[in-house]
Amino acid sequence: MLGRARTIRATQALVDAVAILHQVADRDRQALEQRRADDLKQLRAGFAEEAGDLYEDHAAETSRRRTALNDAVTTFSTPQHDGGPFDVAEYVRLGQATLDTDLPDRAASPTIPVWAPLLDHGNLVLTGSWSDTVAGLIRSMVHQTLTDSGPGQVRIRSVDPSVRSALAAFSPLADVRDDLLTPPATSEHEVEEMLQGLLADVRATVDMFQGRRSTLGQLRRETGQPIGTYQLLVVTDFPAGFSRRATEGLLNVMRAGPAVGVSTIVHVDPAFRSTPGTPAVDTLASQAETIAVTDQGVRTGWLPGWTMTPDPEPDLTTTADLAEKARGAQAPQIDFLDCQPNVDLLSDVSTHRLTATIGRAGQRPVTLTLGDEIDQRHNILVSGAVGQGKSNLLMVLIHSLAMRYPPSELEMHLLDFKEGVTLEPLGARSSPPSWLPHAVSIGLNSDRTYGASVLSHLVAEFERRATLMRGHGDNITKYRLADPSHRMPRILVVIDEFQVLFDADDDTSERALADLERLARKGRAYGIHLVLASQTLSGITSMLTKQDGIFAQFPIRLALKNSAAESRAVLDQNNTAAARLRYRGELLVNLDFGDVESNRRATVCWAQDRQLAQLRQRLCDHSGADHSRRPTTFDGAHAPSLAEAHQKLSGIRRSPDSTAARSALLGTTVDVRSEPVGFALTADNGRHLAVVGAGAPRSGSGISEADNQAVGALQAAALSLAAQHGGDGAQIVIVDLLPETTSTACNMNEFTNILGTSGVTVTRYDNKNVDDYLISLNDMIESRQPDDAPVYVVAFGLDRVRKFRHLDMARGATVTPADGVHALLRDGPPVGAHLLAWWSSLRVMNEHLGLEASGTVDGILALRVTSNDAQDLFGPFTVWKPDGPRGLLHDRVESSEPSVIVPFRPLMTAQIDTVRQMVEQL
Amino acid sequence: MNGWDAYRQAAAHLAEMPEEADADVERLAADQEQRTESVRASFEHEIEHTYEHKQKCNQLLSDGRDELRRVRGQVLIDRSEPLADAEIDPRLDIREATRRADVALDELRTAVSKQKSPSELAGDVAGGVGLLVAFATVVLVITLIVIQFI
Repeated sequence: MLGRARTIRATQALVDAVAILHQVADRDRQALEQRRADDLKQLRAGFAEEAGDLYEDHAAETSRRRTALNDAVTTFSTPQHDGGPFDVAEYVRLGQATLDTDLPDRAASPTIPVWAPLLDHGNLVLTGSWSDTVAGLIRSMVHQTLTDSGPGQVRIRSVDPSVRSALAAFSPLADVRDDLLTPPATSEHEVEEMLQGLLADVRATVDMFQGRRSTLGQLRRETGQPIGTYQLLVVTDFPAGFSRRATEGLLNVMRAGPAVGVSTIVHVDPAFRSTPGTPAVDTLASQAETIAVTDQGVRTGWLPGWTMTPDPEPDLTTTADLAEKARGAQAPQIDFLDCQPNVDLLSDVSTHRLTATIGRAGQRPVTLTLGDEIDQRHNILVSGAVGQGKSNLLMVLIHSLAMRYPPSELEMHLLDFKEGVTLEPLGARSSPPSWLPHAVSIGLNSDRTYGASVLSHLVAEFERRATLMRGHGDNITKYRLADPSHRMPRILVVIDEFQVLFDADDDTSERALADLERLARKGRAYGIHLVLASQTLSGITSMLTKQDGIFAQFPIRLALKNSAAESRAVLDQNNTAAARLRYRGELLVNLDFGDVESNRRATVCWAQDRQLAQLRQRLCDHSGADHSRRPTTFDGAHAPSLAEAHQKLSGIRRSPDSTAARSALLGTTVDVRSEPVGFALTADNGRHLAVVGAGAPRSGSGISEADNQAVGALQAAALSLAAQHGGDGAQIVIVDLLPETTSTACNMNEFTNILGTSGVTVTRYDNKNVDDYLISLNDMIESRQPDDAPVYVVAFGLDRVRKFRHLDMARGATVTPADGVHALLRDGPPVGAHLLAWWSSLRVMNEHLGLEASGTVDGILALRVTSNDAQDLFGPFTVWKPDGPRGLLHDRVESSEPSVIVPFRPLMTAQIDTVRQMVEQL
Repeated sequence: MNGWDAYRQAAAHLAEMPEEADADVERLAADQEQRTESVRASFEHEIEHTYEHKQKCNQLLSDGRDELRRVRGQVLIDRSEPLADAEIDPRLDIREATRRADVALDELRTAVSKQKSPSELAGDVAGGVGLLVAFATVVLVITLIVIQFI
């Protein structure tokens, strides 16, 4: 019984313990569940906070990225275009884009401009069926490429197999230069040809990089020159019109082109299928940035997530302005002195060659060498249209040589046949003195006679040197090496607009051509080098027969921008590269007779007038003894004044021999030396001088009575005679029959007074008393003895004697004025009496001389007379078309043919005091 | 980086922002889910533990019944019977309660082991009766003796 009770108790205890355990478990579970609920509640609260924080983070990051984008857009939207040649449309704007999705900050989606990389950076592939949008995008890109690049910098080429004519609005560019906008390639053959040409351009430019990793733009900025050529190829409807070969060519152009300035815009039309076996469109896209035009909008590959709205098309009427700017494009300037190598001034020797630096090609200087026995390049042919920098090129060439070589090593003869004043500062008239010490002669506004005489002079020099060199080798280098002490400078002859020499088909032209040919063929051996420059070589008809022979001696061809015809003329029949030059100052250098394979583009350095003047002053200072040697300057449009005759008159010293023949100075020769020309007044019969023809043109031409050549020649004659006689008792009789205006304009009163200060006896007659004086000549001549002091009758306007043959019986006269003049003419010279007279009309002169005095005048100076009169005077083969201050002087005793002179100008008002002092010092 | 790259990159960065934000939100949500699940899981284990103890209770009761069944099939513990409410010491943790229940079961086992089976109990009853008679006799004798003396 006890066990049972115990069992019952144990059972009750167990039940109780289990109940407690049960309740404890329930309690614990409830507690856990409560804690879990609390924890989860807390966690959820934390989650909300985290979500809020995340939103704020996103908003902040979005704001930061918006700011970064705005900054990037602002920075990028202000490209530096200054309108200069270095401007390049590296990026073109297409439109504006908005984001496809809302931003986390829930603010409005930004709108940004869309730019596309182009020149120097890449290509563009535009996919989509042909539409206004596609056409507009293409035109917009081309337009911006042209406006944002330097004028005339970019050539546009196009492939348009479907004749979309999207670029027709740009046609005015082709009027400026045919290469600025070439006709579109439409057939497979044309496309292949165009791409081959582009690849050749790419290769040529790559060579210019010389292995540097750079873009064309960088290279241009580094060199400061617009080297190379930017080209934009526009392809529509690819792959239509593209063969497999053309597609591969296009790929190559797209791969290698952008870095060297050739970029491509390819429109891919999905409607066209590629030729089997050609590279897939994806391959093109791998070489470009992509633009997709779909019904949903325009999207670019470089702005994922953005949809673009294209800008409105630009105003294409401005294309004409673009063309105009391209027409006036100018190369950047390379300073002349910066361009020159660092050599000591006037320190080089010309024994072996002459070297000049005229510009730069890329970073390399462009150096020309003349006279080198290995190169065998001795002469230069220069061509360039008006305003393309030919004068600058010549000045650069001249001064580059002048810097290196002293005048003892290099002499120059410079001829300018145009009306410019390029060479004038180089002459001795420059003020302050800054002439070119190397210049022996300078011809300004040169006429053909002077040019021909310079060539004759050079031929004579050539012959002189040939004689000297005999036995010392066959060229100047050997001669100078054999005898270093002997001075034999090389001679550079520069003739600008040389074709003027051959303008007429006459003796002068023929003689000049023969001399030129001889100098070109053989001058090199004797150190004579020619630089012939012209703006038009193609029209020199008189050179046709000898042109090839002459130009074959000119291996160096320098072509500035010109027409295609001129390019062929100066370079080669197949070489029109000069027509494709872009700027004034851009130069095509060809050292192989114009062969197209030897073309090299360069930029001529820029020589400023003041800079060159300073350089010449330094050259004059450094030249030492040579400084005193002024170049002879011949200005075809300028007659020497009496003041300028100072040196010439100083040379005519008074002779101690009172019986020595005196020379009447009339003018200067038209030749290298520009020496004074006189007429010798000896005691031989016939030593009189007749000046015939108008002294000034009747009207127009800008030459006034103050420039009356007849008056000037006779004043100079009188002055020179006075200078030679001084106080030896010689007498000068001035017969002034000039119209009052002419007499005043030519300062006849002042001239007479000045003449009186020279020591000679001066008597003056005018219309009032000239008849009596002329009548008196009859008795005077009869009474004179051979050793009497000379008397010179200088008559201005003798044809104005109204009663030349009138016998004034009312006054008991037995002779006429004509008798007096005839007596002087017939019998004067042996007794020291000479007549120097001006008749403005040949007819009147012949009437005055009549049969009685015909043939008694040895000296004739014809001025403005007709061709017939000239032939009457000098013979049937005489050609005389005076242009400018020229006279045709013939001394029948001294020469069989007349020669051209430049008569002196009459006394100018501004020079009265100068001439007076000069005469007093003589 | 030149201007073009900066422009292009900045535009791309901004365009990427919504996607990045979505990704961040998704990442956060997943993280939160994970953390919630982690909390849930961590409590689940402990709560499950309490259920284990409750199962233990059933087991204990079942074991106790089995023990009781050994002594003549008595069913003193019916699982269907509501367990008695007990005053629970708040400091009593579940391990101690379990231990006590185990001890109670052990005690039950001990008690059961000491309880006679019915046959043994009959013998014991007979023996007890004999003893009781003997005892009563003794008591009577003694009583009689005592009475005798009195």
